[in-house]
Amino acid sequence: MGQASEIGGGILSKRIDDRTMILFFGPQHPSSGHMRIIVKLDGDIIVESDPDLGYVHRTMEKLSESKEWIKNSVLFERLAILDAGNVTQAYIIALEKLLGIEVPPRALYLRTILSEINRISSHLYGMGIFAIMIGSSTGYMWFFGDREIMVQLAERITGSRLTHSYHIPGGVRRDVSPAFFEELERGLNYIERRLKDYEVMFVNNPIIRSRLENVGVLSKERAIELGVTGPNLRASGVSYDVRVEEPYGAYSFVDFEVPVYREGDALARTFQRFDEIRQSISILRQLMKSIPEGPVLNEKYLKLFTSKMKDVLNAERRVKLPSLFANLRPPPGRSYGRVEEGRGEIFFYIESTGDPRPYRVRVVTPSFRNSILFKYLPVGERLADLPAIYGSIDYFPPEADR
Amino acid sequence: MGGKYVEKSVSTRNLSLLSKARNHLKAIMLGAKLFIRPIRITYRYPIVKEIPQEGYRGFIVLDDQKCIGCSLCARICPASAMKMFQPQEKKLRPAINYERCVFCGYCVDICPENALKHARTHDVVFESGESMLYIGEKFTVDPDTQLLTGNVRMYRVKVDDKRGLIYEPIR
Ligand code: SF4
Ligand code: SF4
Repeated sequence: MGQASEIGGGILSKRIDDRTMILFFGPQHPSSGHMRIIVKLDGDIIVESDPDLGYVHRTMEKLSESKEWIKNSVLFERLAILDAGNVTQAYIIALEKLLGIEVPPRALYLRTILSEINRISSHLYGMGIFAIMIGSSTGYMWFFGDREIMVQLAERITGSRLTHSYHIPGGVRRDVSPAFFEELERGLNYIERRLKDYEVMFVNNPIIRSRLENVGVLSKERAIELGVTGPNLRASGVSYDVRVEEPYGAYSFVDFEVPVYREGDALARTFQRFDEIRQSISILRQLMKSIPEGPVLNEKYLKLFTSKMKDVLNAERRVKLPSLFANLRPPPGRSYGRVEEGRGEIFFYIESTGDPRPYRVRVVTPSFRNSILFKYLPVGERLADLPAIYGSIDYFPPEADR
Repeated sequence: MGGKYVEKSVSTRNLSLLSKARNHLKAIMLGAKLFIRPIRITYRYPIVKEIPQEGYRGFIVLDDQKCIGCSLCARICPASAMKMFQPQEKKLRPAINYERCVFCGYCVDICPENALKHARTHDVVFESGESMLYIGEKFTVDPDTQLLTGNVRMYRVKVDDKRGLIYEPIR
């Protein structure tokens, strides 16, 4: 090893010989959590890339063993707050399987409405970060600004902007008013209109194009080999989406398309996300029209309601929690829940021994599965393309590190 | 019903010079349009304040008359922010530590007597860690009564077709 140059106590690079050097790309907070990539460069071509993760590890799996079942949903949504509805839904689906409890149709619809609102907002978030990484501050401002509409809509449903804590075993915590659907329709119209603007200002911008086209190409075979998931997988030509493979929520009651691009480069991943937003808009419109009336919590729990609790439910459409929820004891057993999150499939494996707390919870998050791309995708590309590759993967460190 | 996969491809690669010129023109026109009538999502906090919707999960207020001291709220709190305490002459009452609270609202929703409610206030400045502990009398004061004081303008947010969000003044 040659000379190491230091600035402010942190090693930035190591010179190996006249041509090669090792560059420490981070640790930094490039988008939403710390991470570092250690790259070996030949000139400005990346010959080796080594992702260095774990800076935002919060021992979530272990921590969950010390918390009651219902409390863990609040814990887990913090692994990806920009997509909290989808994360907790996967956990609650697993828990419901253990408890053997069904969800009434209206609650399924409401869950799916929140899921799709979260998906749009997660994609806009990812695109915003992507835009600023490749130097398009217009893109950044636009995507982040417009994401606010989705955040507001999620707040209307759940009472909280990001950490929704919306799902409970057997249903959801709140019903929506008819006025909400009018607002949702307006929000969707706005996003639909803006998608055209994004095309003009961002997607068709020659600079953006030249930075994305044929950059970070992930072949179909490689994507399968590495176990990549979500839009990154689909942009490489693999047809796989949990919403189709194992429908949950209200996905079997609506018609939708899952776009699959074949090129697998950063540009295809961008198109993939915009197309998914279009589909989410269409799903939301269908759900809005066909949402059935009815309870939003399983009858079994509704029976436990006192008259005071029923009053709140009728007056405010807010579900009070039966005291049983503080001490849920699922029968001994194992189950899993999987949900297609904005960035891919999130998987929960839970194991109960009949105690009020889980014996084991295992979470496999999409960002964790996609993080392997940092090792393989940048190799052979120029250093200047690293941000474009990073951004196009839509990697979310807190979600990967848990 | 259900989803189906649809093969797609980025057909418009290597844009021709003509389409590049057309895209350029479109972008300039869009820029000009937004220059004249900009879309503005942000507002000038804290001179201007947004009042959240009905049902927003903000600060928590205790109604001392209604509370029966059942401790359910403290038991369900995922962040251990709510704890029970016993004032000398009285029954058990909850106290909340906002240093820990994550505003999940479980305590409000599990209270069998509806003794807890959410205020809409969510931004309060604390000078010290200790002042974040709301115990006794302090926990029963609704912070929303302070919401409309001071030299601030109040807005309510509405989702709009054309402008995304619009801010309606309510004071
Ligand atoms: S809102 Fe949640 S975190 Fe805060 S005190 Fe209530 S239960 Fe605890
Ligand atoms: S749950 Fe309600 S009644 Fe019971 S101690 Fe808490 S505030 Fe009082």
